[in-house]
Formats: sequence, structure tokens, C-alpha cells
Amino acid sequence: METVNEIRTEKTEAKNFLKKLTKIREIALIFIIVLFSIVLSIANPVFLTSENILNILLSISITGFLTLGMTVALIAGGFDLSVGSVTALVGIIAGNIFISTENIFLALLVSLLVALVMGSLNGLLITIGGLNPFIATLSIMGIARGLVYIISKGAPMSLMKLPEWLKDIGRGHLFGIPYIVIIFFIAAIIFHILLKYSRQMRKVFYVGSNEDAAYFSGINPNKIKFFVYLMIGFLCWIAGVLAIARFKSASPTFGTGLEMTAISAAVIGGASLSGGEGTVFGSTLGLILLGIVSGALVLLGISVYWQQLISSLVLLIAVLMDSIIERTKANKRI
Amino acid sequence: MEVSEDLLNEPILKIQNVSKSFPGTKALDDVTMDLYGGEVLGLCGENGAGKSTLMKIISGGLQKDSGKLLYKGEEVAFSSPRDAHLNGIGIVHQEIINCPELSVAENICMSVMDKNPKGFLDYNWMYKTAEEYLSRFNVEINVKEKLSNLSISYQQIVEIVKALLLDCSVLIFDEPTAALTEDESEKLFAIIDELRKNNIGIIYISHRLEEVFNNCDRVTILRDGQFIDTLNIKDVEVKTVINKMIGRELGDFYPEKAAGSDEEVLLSVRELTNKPSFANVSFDLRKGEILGVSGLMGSGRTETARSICGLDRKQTGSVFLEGKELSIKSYKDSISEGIVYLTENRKKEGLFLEMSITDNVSAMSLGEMSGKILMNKSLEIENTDRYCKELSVKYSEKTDKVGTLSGGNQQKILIAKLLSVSPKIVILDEPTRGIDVGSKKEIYTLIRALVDRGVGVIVISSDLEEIVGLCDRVMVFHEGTMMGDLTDKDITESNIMHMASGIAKGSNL
Repeated sequence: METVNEIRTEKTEAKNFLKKLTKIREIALIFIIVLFSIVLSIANPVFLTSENILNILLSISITGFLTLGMTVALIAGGFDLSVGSVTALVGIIAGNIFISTENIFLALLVSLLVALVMGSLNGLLITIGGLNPFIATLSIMGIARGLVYIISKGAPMSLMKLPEWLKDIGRGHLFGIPYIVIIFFIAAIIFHILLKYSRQMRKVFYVGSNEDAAYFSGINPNKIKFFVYLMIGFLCWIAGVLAIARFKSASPTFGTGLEMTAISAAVIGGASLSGGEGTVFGSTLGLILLGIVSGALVLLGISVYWQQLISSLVLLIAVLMDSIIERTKANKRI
Repeated sequence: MEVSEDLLNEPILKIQNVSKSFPGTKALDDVTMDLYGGEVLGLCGENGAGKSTLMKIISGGLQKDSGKLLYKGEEVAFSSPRDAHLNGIGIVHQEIINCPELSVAENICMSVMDKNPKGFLDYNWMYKTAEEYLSRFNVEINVKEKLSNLSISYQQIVEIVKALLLDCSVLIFDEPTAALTEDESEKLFAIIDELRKNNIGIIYISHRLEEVFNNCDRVTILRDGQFIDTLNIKDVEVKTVINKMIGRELGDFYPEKAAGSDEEVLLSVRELTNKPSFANVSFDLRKGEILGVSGLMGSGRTETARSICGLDRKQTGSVFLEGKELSIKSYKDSISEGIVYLTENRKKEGLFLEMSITDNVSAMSLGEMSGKILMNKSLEIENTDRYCKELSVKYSEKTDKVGTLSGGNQQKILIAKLLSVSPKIVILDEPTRGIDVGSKKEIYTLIRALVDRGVGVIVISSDLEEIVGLCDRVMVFHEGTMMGDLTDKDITESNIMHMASGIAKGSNL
């Protein structure tokens, strides 16, 4: 008879090192964020004031919901370009209905349905339609933005008459921290736990890691993917509602480019475009880093026109580092 | 006088002591063989004997680890297939490799573009050249047609024509007739004969021994990466070649066979049909037996298994488990009934390479490993521990990515995944393909242990030695139909081969 399993110990050290490399992502991001903060606070002491920090956090919180969704989409092996437009559509539809009926619940309900329909459309196009997520969500992105312009006729609408409780969500504080920031971080923590420990989210990892193998394990990949895009629709609705609560207006240009910010944040945080990898913790850190970078430009008196260029450089450096680390790992294996 | 004789008889290609290793396996071990101009040399051996590896080394697709390759008397080492082409060595691959979105003519002329007298693409020239070469096959193919619109056999002809265009001195055919009709095959052999008269050296690989015997001058046999023998076709019988291909001491590599199976039927399949893959397949799996399934690739054996499990659709037919008729609509249904399938395609359909050992083992049993919403990590770890122990999986940590394990351990992880759902019927498709001998033996022992525990096991395999050594009963498929059963002493490699090639039938028909 064969003897009981012998665990090889000689390789443990090398393996531990590899494991550290995969964990290093979050630690490295925290390190970079701290480093940035120190440098910036030396350059401008205003940076480390709680007011500035909360401003940065507030600025990323609405995008944060889209980043949560994007992280799950990337893990499933896809992505969703329509998140920015759908968020704008939620605001415009809710705003429009509220102005004409003054019934906020109707406005919220209809906008929720529209967001879920948009998410389902993405899901159906990708699963039953067999379209590439890029093409499918690009089309929905255009359709949603198109609807925004048709409904709003291109003009932003003021929503000063929103009920007080909704305005409170938009401007209220708890111990000095804006509600919106608190809501986002609670959502992020819940998502982090679900992604790591829930059965449904585990299936998302399986599908993104190897769709065929998931099928051969009794998982229906199409069902999982549909669920992912539907969920993103729901997150867009939350983002859209929080946006009108915060700005007390709905703008047809709102959310332009947010899909790219969300993808950048998730990728900086360790999500892989080839699926199966990513954490909410990492994505959130990525988003914070991007938030600090754009906040810093304002503080340092650099023109906002630089923002896009510098954010893109941050993304580029992050993925280049990744690629280099991956390649050294691969070389070691051979 | 003697000198010129020697020159005439100098082989066009000499392979001397060539070895090649892949991680975990030695694919070629000190192989020496010759090919002469104007001969057709058959190359025979079981799957994994090293034929394809050797041909890839000759045609520039792979680099050898050691040994020499002498071509027209000079030592060569081709750095790429292109390099080999330019030197006059061409290959017709087993798998069709082409550009489906381009036209037939563009595909045919792909590797000879620079022979075009003008600098720009000259479509007229391409069409004319393609037509000229295709006419040798007497087939009506529109050279302007998109390749993907052609049938598989026409695509294979295009692939062959592509190689003919290269003006080769050495031409390798790797299972060229697998997709051809009989008529088309005959034309191919006529062309091969013509090439032979033009003093071209031809290596012909085929599992169809009949073709080898009808068309080759000599046959070289490889086994387990080693050169076994080269024989003149005139002086040899089919039986001798088969014996040389498989001859190996079985020893007690395999666990003892069952003393006799119960009459209790675990699984019965009746008139299962999914055309064109297979039709009217009926069989019983009895308690206490290992049922082997054999047949050539594409004979319907894998497709049948997949239909039973709801991985593929079935057109008609029924499946009974312990006497109860099942209605399986998806693989999920099959799993909950207790019928599981191990894929033959470990990396593509089996493993989550970037995920941990535990994640891989739990993939099928998520329901058992979780509460209402959250996974139960400690249960997952306990389950993984249990099966890794039973299967002797070697790893350093359960959080290791499965991609870092050896082939044998990866395969054991897949089996652990199946066992985690406590199945009643386990269908194993190529359970030991590409894994080391030690792991093979452990898997065989496990299979026998499962059967002794009352689990029904079906083993599908191309490895005849494995089928003969392991199974209590063997069903053989040929072109989508069952050729019958073999039991006890009738389970021999030559019986199986005869049935798999459609020459003989077994009992129970």
C-alpha cells in the first residue's frame, strides 16, 4: 500500500514567496497611498486636514458603487462600459418623473426598473446573444446615454424640491463623515465579504477563471453572467440616486468616463481583464489612489486638464508592474 | 563503384539519438531512424509513443534536447516551421491549422507568397496555382470560397495541397485521412505514389494499419518515446506490428480484477442517440465491475458519456439509474442524481488553474460546502484534506494554485472534485492521459477501491494497455455504433483494435 500523503516541505519557502507576491498588491497600494499622502502634506499642509480627506472620500464614493460592480464583472471575465450612462439615465428618469408627479417613490421605482432592464439587456446580449462584453456594453452605453439626451433634451434639471430625507442622505453627516461615504464603505465591506465567502460569488470566480471547467462542474455560466450584469444595474441605480441626492440636480453629462475610472481602479487593485481575479479591498484602494491623485492636482494648483493624463499614467504604471512581476514568476517556473 | 552505391543509398534524413523531455515526461528517448528519398515510411505507435513530438522536431515546431538531425548529409536544426519549409521539409498536420476567414486560394498559397513574381498580391496567380494543384484531387472546390464554408474533408484536402506546393524533399503526413472519405483517401494515396516516384521521402503516420500496409514501403515503430524497430512491409504481418506497438510487461501494475460481477445493474442506457456522433447505444453497468469503453477518437465514446450526463443534448433514448428512469436536462441534474463525468481535457474543461486546490476541489459540491449564503471554509478544508489524503495528492499548501501542480496531482484534484459529491456513477474519460506512472497506479488502485465500495465506474480510454489491464468488461465503439462487449480472456489489445477499426464484432449484439 501507498503511504499516507507526504507533504513536501522543501518547496514551501519558494511557494510562500509567491504567495506574498500575490498579497503584496494591497500592501503595496497602502504603502503608495501613505507615501503620496506624506509627500502631498509636505507640499501643502491642507492635504492632511480631515476636511480634505473627507472631500476626497466623498468624491470617490458614488464612483465607488460602479467600481464594486466593475470588480465583479472583471472577475466574471467581462466588464461593463455602460455603468456611467446608466447611472446618468437613473438620475434623469428619477428627476423627470419627480418633477412631473412630485412622487419620489414612483420616481425611484421606475428608475430602479430602468436600471435593472439595462443590466438585463447587457446580460442577455452577452449570454444568449453571444456578444463580446465590449460590444454589448458599448452599445448599451450609447443607448442609455442617447435616452438621457432624448428625455432631458440636453438640459440639466434642478431638483431643489426633493424631499428632505433624500437631501439629508446627500448632505448629512455622522460624526462629521458624510452619509454617502458611510453608505459606500458599508457596501464595500458587505461586497468584500460576499466576494470572499459567498457561494454565489464563488461561482463568479469559477466562471471567470475557466468557463468550460465551470460548466463541467455543473455551474451554468450564462446564469452567473446574467446575474452579474443585473447586479451591476442595481448598483448603478444606487449610484444614480445618491448622485441626485448629493447634487440636487440631474445632469445629462453626469457619469461620462466613470466606466473608465471604475475599470482603472479595479485593475490597479488587482482585478484581471482575463477574469478570475480581483478583490473589493484592492479595487477600493485603487479608487482611493486615483481620488488622491486628482485631489492633489487641485491642491498643488495644477490645471485640471492634467487629470486624465496623470490618472492614466498611474494605471499604466500599475499594469506594467504587474506584467513584469508575472513574467519574472513565469521565468522562475522554467 | 562502391562509393557511388553508397551515395545512392544515403538516406535523405537521418535521425540520430534524438531525445526530448517535457516537464514530467520523457517524450523521446534516444531515437534513431532513417528516411530514404523515394520511399513511404509508415510511423506507428500508440498515443503518447512520441510520433508527433518527433515529427514536430523534424519540421521545426519543437527543438530537440540532444541528438543529431542529418538532412541531405548535413547536420541541421530548424528554428521554426518556416525554416524547415525553406529547406524543403513540409508537414500536413493532424489538426487542421488554417485561416478560416480567408479564401481557399489564399490559404493554399499562404506559405509561398514570396514565390509570386510580383511584389503585390497577385490574385489571378493565386487562383490559377490553387486550381492547378486542386485538380490533382479531381474535386470541385471554388478557390474563391471562404475556407470555413468548406466541409472538413475539403479543408483537409486544402491542407494537403498547401504542403504539396512547397516543393519539398521530405513530406510528413500526420493522420491525413482522419477526415477524408474513402474516395478522397484513394486520391491521396495516388498522389503519395506520384511523390514517391519523384524521389520525395514521405513519412506517413496513421492509426489505420491497413493504410500503412497498403501504401508504405517500410514501417518504423515507436513505443514510450523509444525506437522499437523498422521493418519492411513485405516481410511483416499486421500482428507483428501490433505486438511491437504494445508489447509491454503488465506486471501487477493493475489491481486484481473482480472475481465476478453482481447481477445488480446500476446504470442502464437504452437506445441513446445523438446523431451524427453516435446512434442506438445500449448497455448496462453492473455493480462491482469496471466497465471499459474503447474506440478511436471521434468514434462516439466521449459523446455518449457527455449525453448521459446532460453535458450534451441527446436526441432519443433513456437512462436508468438503479432501475429508475432519469430525466436529466443539465449536468447539474446529473450531479444531483449522482452521475459525474471526468473530462478528457484536463486543462481546458477541468481545472481552474489560477485558483487554489481547495477552490478546485469544492467546485462541484458548493451546495454541500456552504450554508444559506456563505461558504463553510472549515468544511471545505476538511473535505479537501480527506480526498487529497485518499488520493495521495502532493502539495505544499492547500492555497497553492492548481496550475503549479504536476499533471498527475492535477488529475487527482479533478477526481477529488468528483468524489466530493459522493457520486453513484463515475465516468472517467482518459483518466490517466499524460500523467506519470506512479500517479497512474494510484488512480487505478482508487478506481478498484471505488468499485469495491459499490460505486459504478466507466473508464473511457485510448490507452489499450490500460483498458486491458484495468477493466472487467470492455465495450468498443466504431464510428458512432457499439461493436459489442468483450469479457475475461477476450479482452486483448488485438481484439479491441479489430473491433475499433470495424473489422470484428464482439458478443452481446
